[in-house]
Amino acid sequence: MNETAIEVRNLHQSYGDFEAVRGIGFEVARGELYALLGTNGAGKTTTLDVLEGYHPPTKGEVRILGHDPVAERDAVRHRMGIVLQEAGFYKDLTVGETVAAWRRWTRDALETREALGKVGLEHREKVRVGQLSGGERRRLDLALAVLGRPEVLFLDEPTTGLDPEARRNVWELIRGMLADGVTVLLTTHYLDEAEQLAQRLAIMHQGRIVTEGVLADVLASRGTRITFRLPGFAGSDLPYAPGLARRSVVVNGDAFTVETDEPQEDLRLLLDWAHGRRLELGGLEVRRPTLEEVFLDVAQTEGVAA
Amino acid sequence: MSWLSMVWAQTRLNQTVLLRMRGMAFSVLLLPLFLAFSFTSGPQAEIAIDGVPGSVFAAVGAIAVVFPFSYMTIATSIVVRREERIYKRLRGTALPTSAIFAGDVLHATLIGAAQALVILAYTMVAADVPLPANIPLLLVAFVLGAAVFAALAIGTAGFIPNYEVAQIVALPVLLLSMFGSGMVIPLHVLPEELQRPAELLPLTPIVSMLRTAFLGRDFSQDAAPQVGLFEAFQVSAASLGIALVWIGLSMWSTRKYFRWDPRRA
Ligand SMILES: Nc1ncnc2c1ncn2[C@@H]1O[C@H](COP(=O)(O)OP(=O)(O)O)[C@@H](O)[C@H]1O
Ligand SMILES: [Mg+2]
Repeated sequence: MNETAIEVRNLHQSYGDFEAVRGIGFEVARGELYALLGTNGAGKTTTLDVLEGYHPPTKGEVRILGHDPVAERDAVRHRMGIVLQEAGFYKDLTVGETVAAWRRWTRDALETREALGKVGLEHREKVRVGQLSGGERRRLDLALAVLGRPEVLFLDEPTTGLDPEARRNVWELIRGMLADGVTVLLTTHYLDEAEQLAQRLAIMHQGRIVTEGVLADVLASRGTRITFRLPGFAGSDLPYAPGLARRSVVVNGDAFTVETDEPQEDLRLLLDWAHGRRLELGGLEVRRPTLEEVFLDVAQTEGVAA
Repeated sequence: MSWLSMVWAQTRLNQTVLLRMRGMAFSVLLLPLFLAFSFTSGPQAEIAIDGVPGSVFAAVGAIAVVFPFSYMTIATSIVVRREERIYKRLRGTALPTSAIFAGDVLHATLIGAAQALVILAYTMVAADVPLPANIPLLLVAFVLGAAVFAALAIGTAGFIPNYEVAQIVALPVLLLSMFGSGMVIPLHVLPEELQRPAELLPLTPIVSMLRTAFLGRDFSQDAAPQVGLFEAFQVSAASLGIALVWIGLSMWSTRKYFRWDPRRA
């Protein structure tokens, strides 16, 4: 059996003259959750559209469970479940009627009650879809996506707009699917979501993947941060020789951020220096960067480069 | 899961959805019947129009009016589902796109067929319309009419941006069909320069086939001679040709302009 569930090679996708995805590649193993991160317009939805078989790629190649999702649609379509970023329902049908209608063209579908139970919507079975809250509609999206016991699940911003409790419920559902061996490709712009769920992730920016790997590696690609407040001093006053590649100093008012690959050495220098001058480093902290900082860095460097 | 059962699932879903939308259900289900009854209850039943007895003239018109309505049903439902991204959701399931199209068309055609049967039964009982002379031709004409207007709806949906415009577009389609097809007023009453174009409108050939099917006579000739069962098909060849051209044009336009996704601003 093929161990790779999703393969993307040199994918380009254009809308007219505009290239929304500019040559990306990644692989997702069976049973793994892979997260695509990126700000709005990064190209996440466009990438998913191609993987889901809505359009053939402008250039490059994609494979789902070893098949071309457009040319071999019949071989894979019923093995994937899709939560679109934005898709409508028939508002005048009830929740139960909607699931029942979808079951009629879904092979080996879950029972209606079972599907609703998975997403905690059993008690809303008789309610018209138009009357559901945003969070409930998102759960109905999920119920339809898992109806056919998919092997690969595509989730495009599944928790955007949900309250914290609803988000945690969706995460539980996703973990349950992973435990059953389902492969999940998730897009999000919530970094904590990726930290919670993803084994591996990629950060997309303007149609390209700028960082990719397991979470720890992505974070390790950036240095440890030493932050503190010190009024009346400039960056050049610190005991650091200038021009060192392993270290950078950013000063914002009295807030200093030292990013370094050798935190122990740099911290010792800093403390000795402050001790000798009887200076108080306010709010001193030493920590690994958060995904959020990596993300902002990426957006910033790329933004400056563009 | 066979293709046919998926088509049937789509058809049933369309029907449930239509019945839930009361305003839409009213205009789709009842308006054509009202129009049909108003045609057939006029005082003209005794006089012949273009050699067609008034009652039959009216009955044919009443049946033909269901086609522009099914245009409206199909075109609006395509536009609404595209703009609300229901199509995007449906296309993400195991349903093939052909089953989505077929379910939409079958839905509208079943409604039209039920309406035509009601109208036929009513006119036979209330307006002394005779049993149609050529039932096979009547069926062919009905199916062809349904096909032409379904194709037109799918072929024009790509140009219609939203629900409101779909409703507006349906109106000229209905008016042209009523007044340009010889259904309500005979074509020779129209100004000279409009007669030829009117003959080429999509509903005109259907109306003339329906008349031939009812009366077993060829109205393209002055004396409107009687024609046999097979001869009636032969004399309808030109009508068939015009209808097929409309289907062909619509399919071309569908290939070129149909879209499943809303257009982005
Ligand atoms: N159908 C479309 N036509 C034209 N441009 C599009 C279309 N869909 C997306 N885009 C553009 O492509 C880029 C990527 O969009 P998208 O894939 O939706 O990004 P994301 O999902 O990461 O927010 C954006 O600049 C967007 O405006
Ligand atoms: Mg998106």
